[in-house]
Amino acid sequence: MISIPDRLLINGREPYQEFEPEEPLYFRFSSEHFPDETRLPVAAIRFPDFSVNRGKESQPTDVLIPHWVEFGIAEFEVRAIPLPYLSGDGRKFEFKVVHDPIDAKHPYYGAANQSFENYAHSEIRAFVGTEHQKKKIPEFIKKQFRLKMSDNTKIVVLLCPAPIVETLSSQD
Amino acid sequence: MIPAPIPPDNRPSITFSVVDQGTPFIDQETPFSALDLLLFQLPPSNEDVSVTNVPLSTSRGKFQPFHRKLWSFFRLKEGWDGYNAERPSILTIGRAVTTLTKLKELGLVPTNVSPSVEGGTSIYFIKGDKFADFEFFNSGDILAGLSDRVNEPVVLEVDIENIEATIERIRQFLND
Repeated sequence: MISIPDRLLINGREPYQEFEPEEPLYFRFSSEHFPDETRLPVAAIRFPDFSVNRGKESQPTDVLIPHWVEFGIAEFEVRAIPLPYLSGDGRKFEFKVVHDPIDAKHPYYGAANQSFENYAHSEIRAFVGTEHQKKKIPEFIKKQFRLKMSDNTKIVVLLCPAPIVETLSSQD
Repeated sequence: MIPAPIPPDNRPSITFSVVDQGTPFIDQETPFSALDLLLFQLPPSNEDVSVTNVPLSTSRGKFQPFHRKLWSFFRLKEGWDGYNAERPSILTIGRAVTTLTKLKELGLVPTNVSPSVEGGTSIYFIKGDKFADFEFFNSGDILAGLSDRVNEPVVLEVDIENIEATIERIRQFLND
């Protein structure tokens, strides 16, 4: 377990939805997806509500906090998020990044009895009009999105040694 | 206690039979050893998995690591991806094994296999900037994808009974 750096603490800050096209977004991936080549397979890309950390408020290694030091780190820029897709029934699915900090009361993935504050947390979400689509997204559109994201994702680091993560996370 | 080594001529052999809704879906000989079985420690499942002793037929060569890796996905737990991914069902592992067998017959070697964060398994191919995959979802759906970092990706619905057609499409895409 490593400590949570100050930059990830909310400290009364509100989320903001202004993203520059070049802003990097970071996420972690399992050793099951350590690539043989330079590309992350589509099977490593989740959608919808694809969790990322916004680069303006975090460092790449922050996605390994609090206990995923054996994972890899990948990144893409905001402008890599695909343009809208039309479904077979004529619905237009749009994709946007939404800044959605996690507060300390939020039970975090796989961390029973733990909480984790993360101001940088954001999600790539699907919308039809203004309505956030959590479930009923056609499989073809989900797959199309994930293929495109795999095209545009870069590997930052495969395996970051724990001491380096601890050093980075203590800097602010 | 460490099991005593098994003499080569007396190695036990197994076949996994995966039954999909009462219909035999796959009867695939797999490259298991008794030690593999001990290591995998099959988790409880409501899917019908039978193990019988039959002559062992191993999948040697380039495909053997893929078979071993696929069956190792039994060990994954919910949330194995550091988020909230489901573990691959035995059905998706069985379908990927079937597809590997067909790929071997048709002489198309994948780059790797992996579990999918969307719940299921995947077989994928990378050649330069080109990427293609089969994704077998726990829901029962099977999709293939083709992308080359330039054009819009192509998504194909896959019929497991006619998977040869999709394999040929992927081969053509990778070689064009």
